[in-house]
Amino acid sequence: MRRFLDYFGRRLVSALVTLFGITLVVFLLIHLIPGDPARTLLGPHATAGELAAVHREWGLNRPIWVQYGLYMSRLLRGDFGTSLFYRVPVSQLVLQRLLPTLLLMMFGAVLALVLALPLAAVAASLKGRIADQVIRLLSLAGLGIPSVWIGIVLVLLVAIRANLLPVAGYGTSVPAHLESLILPSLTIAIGMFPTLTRSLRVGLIAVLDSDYIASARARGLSAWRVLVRHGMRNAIAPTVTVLGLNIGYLVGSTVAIETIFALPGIGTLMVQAVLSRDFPIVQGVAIVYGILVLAVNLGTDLVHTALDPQLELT
Amino acid sequence: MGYLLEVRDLTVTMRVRAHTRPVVQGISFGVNAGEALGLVGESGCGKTMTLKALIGILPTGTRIASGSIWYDGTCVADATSSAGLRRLRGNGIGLVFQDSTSALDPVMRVGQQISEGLRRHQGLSRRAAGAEAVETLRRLGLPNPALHVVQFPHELSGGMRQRAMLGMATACRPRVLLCDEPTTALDVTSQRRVLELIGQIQRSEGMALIFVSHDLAVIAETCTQVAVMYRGQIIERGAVADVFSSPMHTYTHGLLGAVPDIESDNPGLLAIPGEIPGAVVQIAGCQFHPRCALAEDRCKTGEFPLQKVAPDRESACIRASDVTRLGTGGRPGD
Amino acid sequence: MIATVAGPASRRGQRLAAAVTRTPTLSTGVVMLAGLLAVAVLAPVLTSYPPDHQYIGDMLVAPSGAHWLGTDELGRDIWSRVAYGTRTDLEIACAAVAVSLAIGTALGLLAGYVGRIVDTVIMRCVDFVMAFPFYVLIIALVFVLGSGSASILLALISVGWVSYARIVRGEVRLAVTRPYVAAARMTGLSSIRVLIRHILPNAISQAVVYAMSDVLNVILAIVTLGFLGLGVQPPTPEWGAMIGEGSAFLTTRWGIATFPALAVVLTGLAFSLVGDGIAQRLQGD
Repeated sequence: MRRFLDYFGRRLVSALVTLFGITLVVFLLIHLIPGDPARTLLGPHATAGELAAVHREWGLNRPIWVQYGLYMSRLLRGDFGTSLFYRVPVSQLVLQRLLPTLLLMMFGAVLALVLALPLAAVAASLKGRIADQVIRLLSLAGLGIPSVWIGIVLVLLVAIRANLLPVAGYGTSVPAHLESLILPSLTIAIGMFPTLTRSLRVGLIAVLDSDYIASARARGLSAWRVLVRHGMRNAIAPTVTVLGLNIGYLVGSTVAIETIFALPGIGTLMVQAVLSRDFPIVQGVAIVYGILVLAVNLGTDLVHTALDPQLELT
Repeated sequence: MGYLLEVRDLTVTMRVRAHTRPVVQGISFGVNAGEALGLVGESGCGKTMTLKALIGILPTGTRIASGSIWYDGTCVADATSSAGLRRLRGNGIGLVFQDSTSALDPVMRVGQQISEGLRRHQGLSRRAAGAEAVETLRRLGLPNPALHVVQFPHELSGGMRQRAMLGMATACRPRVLLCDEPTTALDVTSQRRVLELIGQIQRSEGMALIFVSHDLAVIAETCTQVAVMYRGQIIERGAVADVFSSPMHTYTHGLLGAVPDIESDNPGLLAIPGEIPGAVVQIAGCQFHPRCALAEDRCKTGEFPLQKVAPDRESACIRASDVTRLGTGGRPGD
Repeated sequence: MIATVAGPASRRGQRLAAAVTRTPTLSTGVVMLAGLLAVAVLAPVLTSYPPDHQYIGDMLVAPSGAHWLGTDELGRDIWSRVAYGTRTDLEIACAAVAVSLAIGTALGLLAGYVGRIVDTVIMRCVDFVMAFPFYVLIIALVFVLGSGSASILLALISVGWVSYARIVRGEVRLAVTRPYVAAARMTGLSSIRVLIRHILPNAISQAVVYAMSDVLNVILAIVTLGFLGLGVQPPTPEWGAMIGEGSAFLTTRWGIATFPALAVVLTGLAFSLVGDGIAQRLQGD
């Protein structure tokens, strides 16, 4: 347990350093935009007084590290700026819209695993045979399918033609929410699972080639038990790692998919903000996404560690 | 003849890219209850593949091409089916692996790995199987079996792991025990202990033992009969004492000469000239003739099956009797 | 894999060709890539209409003899747009990956070989950039830089170099511990020569394999941005923008959105095959 906490502590510190880096990158963004940062922040209709206020508050005429310090202190207070378009604090907008994005990510990831794991298992255990070759080829081809196209096709086939699920939107009740998340999650899952299948297949093959699998077979255990109890159990750790590696893609793909399905998540928020030049939102959402990825990576790392009995020394 | 476990003219092939090549070629042997047969040879001679074929865990791409395996008078495996062998795995035949670190599932507790075989083959309940696992470890000399059953493999020392693996292989009291270099990865003290245990188990259960090793000293100690393999074929067979004291094949002679003899006056090691040709290389005639000091023209073509050269001795060499007159290099005069 | 010793260019070329033909994955991929390049380069020859000419009166036509893949809602020939779109997407993608590869390799070599402060600084930058989901950073950068091909290119490079830096640095760190590097240094070779002749070939082969899958991801990013309206601006034909435009017409003329998607899939397949093929060759050696 002690070792686990040690590890957790170290990872947390590392995560905090990365968090600091995230804020730094986002902070630098505003200074990359040509022109007066205050004007970028407040929009073209700002008055001289408002501009002056921002200049003072942000210390725009002071050295850059002072500006960064002021920026960080604002962030730590929860002040992510105010949206030019909506005229409300960005933090408020983000919090309102965080849930659909999180749900979408979760369902998407789970569905992707549900699709990828069995296929990878079949391919790994029948390695070299026809089924394996077919799965490999399809996964290879599937890597290139644009998920945006998958999204619109699903909308066409399921929502419009078959009228089974809502075309877009989020609904007002919890069941409606869940219903409206089905197609987008499926889109994300279909976009993600070729990569997952490929990685999982490699991981499973490595597991199935090991001596302990041969040993289990030599003891006459049923094929099922060998595959599931011995094979899968050992494959979970690399699976979690693979999932962690793909998380960046998972999170990023939610941006476009949310837009297609008109889900009120932070992805749509960001795209709208870019189109309407609403910088505070872009900045705020970028940081939130960075934190999300960080949290997920930390989570998968911890799960991986928890699953490894070699760290369970009391 | 009535062997407990018998192999008849077994050929195992492996598919590599587009080719199929034999890894075991036309070998035959048998063991009876209470007997111990050693399989010796250098790496790649096919001894491990033989074991895997005997227990039915040939890897993908390898298969029995011809020949048959018989258990207690019934054919359990041949080129068409291994159904009988499947039923015997872990139950009638057990296999002890070389490397206990990799052969034990790292995420499953040791006791469970022993009891799952018991539950499968003997239908024991979880509790009964667990108790039996503790007993198995105790029989194998582990000092605190109740503690060890709930531990994970990495928490045990190398020697303990090896004994745990022995326990896994013998839990269901198989009548035949296959050992794949069980002492290679161990230090000398652990080696001794494992060998004693294997001997003990064999005697108390009356098991038939097939022991694979490249360590001639271990074979000499554990086995009564030995078969020497080279490039997938058995090239000599007989009682251990006879074969090791007066080999009747140049290869065996070379193997023995390569072992440093602490008592000998002559400190030199006899190396077998040349190297084992790569697996894809085809050699006509006697497989060993390119490296053989006694090779003649007639060794370059034809088949060289095992021939009886003395009571209870077989050799594939047509000049078997000349081998005894070869220079010894490392042994006091023969 | 020890780097093959330099020989006369023709012999190396022959060996390369032999290696390619021996691996079916690689050869299929190379053939497909060649086909794509041909389409991109020879677009004017292979198409009968300019890609942005609107043939009013011939809108939403089904695939026919005159218009092989039909026309879109503005009467533009779809096959032309797809063919010229190959240019757009491939140009940006290849440029982005090539430059990222170059910059990333250089920085990775530096970090791995020099070590200490330089290494820490470079790798921290890598970590910070990698902390962001790819798309989010690209979108943010596109916001900052404005939309259009140049901005996308710049954004992709700014984000893309990190993976190569990490890969190359890892390989360099590994290679430095290998005996052949110590041996080379002992024969008096200067550091730079050791770096270039002994360490670089190994490191770069890993980077090249990654580059193949990277091109695919970059193309997908360009396509997604185009779909969202944030990328290449009209009227330049671009696959993603075409998918976006065609989404409204899926029920009537599904080709408008689907043919460009098909082009993306085929391109992806080509690069993936090449990448897998190279990886296979490297392992097989």
